[in-house]
Amino acid sequence: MSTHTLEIQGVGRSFRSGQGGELIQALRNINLTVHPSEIVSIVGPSGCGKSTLLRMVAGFDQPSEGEILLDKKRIFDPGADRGIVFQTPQLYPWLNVFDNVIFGPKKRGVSKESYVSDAERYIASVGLKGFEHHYPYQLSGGMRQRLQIARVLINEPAILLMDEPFGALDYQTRLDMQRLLLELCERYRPTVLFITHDIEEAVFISDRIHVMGARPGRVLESLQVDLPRPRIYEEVAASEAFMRMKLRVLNLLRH
Amino acid sequence: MNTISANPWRYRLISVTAVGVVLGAWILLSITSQLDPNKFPPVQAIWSALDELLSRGYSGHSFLEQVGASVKRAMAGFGLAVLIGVPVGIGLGNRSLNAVAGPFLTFMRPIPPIALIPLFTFYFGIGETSKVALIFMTSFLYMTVSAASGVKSVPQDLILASRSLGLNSRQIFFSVIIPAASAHILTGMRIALTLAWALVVAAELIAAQVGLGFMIMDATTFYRIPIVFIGILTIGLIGLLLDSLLLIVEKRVLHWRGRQS
Repeated sequence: MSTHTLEIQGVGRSFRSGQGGELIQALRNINLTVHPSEIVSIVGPSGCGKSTLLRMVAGFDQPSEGEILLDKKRIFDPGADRGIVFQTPQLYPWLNVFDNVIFGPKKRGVSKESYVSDAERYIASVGLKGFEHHYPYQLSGGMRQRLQIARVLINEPAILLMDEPFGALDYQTRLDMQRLLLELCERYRPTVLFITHDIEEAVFISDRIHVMGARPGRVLESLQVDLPRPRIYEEVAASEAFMRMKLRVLNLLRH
Repeated sequence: MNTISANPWRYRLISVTAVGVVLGAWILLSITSQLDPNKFPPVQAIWSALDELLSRGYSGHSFLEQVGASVKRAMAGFGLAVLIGVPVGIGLGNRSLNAVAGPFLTFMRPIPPIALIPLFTFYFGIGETSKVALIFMTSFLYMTVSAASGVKSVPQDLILASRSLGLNSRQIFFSVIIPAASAHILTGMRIALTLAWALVVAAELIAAQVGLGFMIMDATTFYRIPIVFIGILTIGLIGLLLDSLLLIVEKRVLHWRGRQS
């Protein structure tokens, strides 16, 4: 059960276009909170700055205004307390599945007994049991994404940051991955910040959705998703509540 | 159609046949006495020259010594180039270092190494040093480029992902950047080795007492064309052997390369 809270307070980010060019505001006054064990999605059109926001939470970039706090502490740089899952799996191609998963804890000096049993557990929980000795090039796109998730979960991060993680997968695999994510969330109860442009995906997995608009990137509206859990896709997707929520987000994005 | 073209054995067979036809034609011309031993030697002339070379050597050195001298020079220059060139190339990943060394390296690269032979002979004498220095110089320039481009090819997001896994800068350098760059570095090594081998012969054409390049040059002066042919064939075979060795290493170590996501 996660006890970690992420707070984004009055965050803005501006870039200068080229040398001495005009200042472009990519993000303006973003305020949002992700409560412990909550799954929060940010939905928006491409170019609305949702990935920029996530990269600032990861510590890859700094806000121009405002601050980002994890458990009341300001974020300055990347760290193992925030596990990031990229759209393009960033795996070590020279290491097999098992070695990819233990890479983080091993380098951080965690004891071997502890990370070996953790690795077995997380590999099994993402459905890669039996593939420990396979290399990334021998895995399908969906399996690579499973591996990336296991590699992050083993660090037991305070928050899971997911940057359109299933955006490059085919429809069927994407559904499988969404189901897997909900399953993992039921089991480990992590705090999750999820970026996507897929409205159905956001509605299906989230407790809350922040809908963003572009130029400048800002939060248009924050919606509570009151669909009961555990959610089973075939039931949820056919429900009226799901449809209503989907249409609401769609309408917000139309303007 | 597809199943046939997908079969690699088909093309291997074509290659073997092509080589066989050329060799066959040579043998045929040889046994019908169509070839002049002092222009394009027949098989028999090569054979007897090889026999003499193996039993009596050439110009006071055995055939093995001739080969060994060339291989030793090439390996010394190439080995030093890898040992020094790889760290320097990785160092060029640093922008300031690149700004200092970049212009010199970029200027040096297109200069044909042969143009440096007279100057190197003047600086380092006609002994081993000038030859090894020339081979080193050329392979070194090549190794720095491939190591630098190897470092540059590491995806930025892989480095960021590693930082998020909790790795410090030193760990990222040794456990992420170096292995990720190794594919480029090994490919660079194969090309640098080919260059080194080609250059040793060029270096030996001038002022050498032993070596395959010397043997070719000297035998030409004395009109011993079969010896010249043996020298050239040996150079080709050894070059092929060296490249195959590195190719095997590459396939073993870098089985994952070119196939990642």
